[in-house]
Amino acid sequence: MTNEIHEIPIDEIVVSNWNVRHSERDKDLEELAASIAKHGLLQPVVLTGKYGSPPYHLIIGQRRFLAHRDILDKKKIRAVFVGELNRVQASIRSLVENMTRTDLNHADAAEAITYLYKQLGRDERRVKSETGLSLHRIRQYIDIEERASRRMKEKLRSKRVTPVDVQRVLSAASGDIEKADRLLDKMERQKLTIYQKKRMVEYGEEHPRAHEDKIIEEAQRPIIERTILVRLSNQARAGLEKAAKQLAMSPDEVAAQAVEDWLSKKGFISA
Amino acid sequence: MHNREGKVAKKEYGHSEVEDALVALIASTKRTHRKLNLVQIAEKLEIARKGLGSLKNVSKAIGLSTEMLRQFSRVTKIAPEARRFLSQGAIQGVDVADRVSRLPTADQFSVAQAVARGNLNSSDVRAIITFRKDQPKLPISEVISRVMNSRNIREYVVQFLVPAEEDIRSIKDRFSKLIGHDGVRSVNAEKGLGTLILNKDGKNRLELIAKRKGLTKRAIVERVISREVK
Repeated sequence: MTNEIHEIPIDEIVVSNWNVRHSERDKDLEELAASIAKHGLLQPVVLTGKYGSPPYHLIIGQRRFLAHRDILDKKKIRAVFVGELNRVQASIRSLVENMTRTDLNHADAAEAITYLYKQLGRDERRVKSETGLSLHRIRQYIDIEERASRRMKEKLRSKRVTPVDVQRVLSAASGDIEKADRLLDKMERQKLTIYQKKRMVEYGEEHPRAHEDKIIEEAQRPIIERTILVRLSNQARAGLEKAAKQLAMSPDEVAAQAVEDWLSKKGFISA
Repeated sequence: MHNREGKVAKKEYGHSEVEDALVALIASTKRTHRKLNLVQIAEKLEIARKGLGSLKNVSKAIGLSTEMLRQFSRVTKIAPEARRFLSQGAIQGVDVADRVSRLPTADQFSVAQAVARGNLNSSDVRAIITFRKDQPKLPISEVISRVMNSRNIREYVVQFLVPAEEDIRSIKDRFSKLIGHDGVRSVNAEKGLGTLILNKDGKNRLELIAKRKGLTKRAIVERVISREVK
């Protein structure tokens, strides 16, 4: 990218389809325009192509551009050029810019990241190195883009639900998208706590044929978790503590695992 | 303190103050039994951060991750009335304090109070944060109660042999007297095998008694049955 800043006529700029922001373009645009009117444009917009050969495609700074054109009625805007980019390169630049500077809408980010993932040989690590996002987030975006229904994506776009909640209903519905949609509707109405949402997923996964009403009903019913206190020899207690330390687990977890393994080995429970 | 231009002057710390702060942090951030409470740790951390220039430098100096140090420093974001529970040592966990700091200021006191009373743990506070986002208009007492009532119910089971000469009601009375009626969910016997079920409060009280007597919980149960502990 050249650092040279040019004053470019507004009517020579078109917003590139490769700009990843498709939602909330007009959000707080009045405020942004007021800020630009008061302080000027602090950061130039970014265009592809070569200076002197319009039209130019805008890949970064869409909202600043819209504030200039639609509210401030400016004829020119300050811009820098990045030369010719292919769609993958343009998507990466636009995505990184939007994700680091503002809270990019989840649905837009998911669409862009999934596109990159497909273009980069379905390699999550390459997406990570290009965007700087964690693998966990990349996987979440791709998972939602691939599995969620249109209704779910609309709810995400309007921020009525969270990405984690969409993943939860998808798991609880065991792959039945319509059931997942109905579950999400009910979850929104019932306002479940995290504990209830976790039970919804557990019950849904264990009972793939259960009706959504039943899943929500069971989610609202607390489970009784019983801890059994047993007497251990000093040797066994020391071993338990040693195992807990080495495995970075709590002694309770180690004991539960050991008991389950033993019962399974002896045929008292099915593996 | 204000300087001539009327701006708040930044306090500068001497080398020895920074050194002292680092020593105090090493002694208090890595151990479970801390000498300093969380508010004091946050104050020392602030001195060390100013002295070394950044949290990253403090992290290198004392060998604790910047993420962990950020948790300690977030204690300063807690509203003063809620912070009282930290300075009194009623809240000692940095993860729970960090989570309290993420709540709206108006909610922090009620949640910190419930944590200090042992009614909420770190996971519950996390659940409150997300539920609060869904329910911004609900009174905080209602948010806390909805989260508490949605938790799984924890029960603690001890099985024991009922001595031939013993009556199960008498055993139940002895446990109720020792632990409190509200801590004992049930005591039953079938074919000589007794089952004592405690709720979380009952288990905590049993744990406390065991600690005081230098015994395990299981050993206390057996001594209650054999009338060695009353």
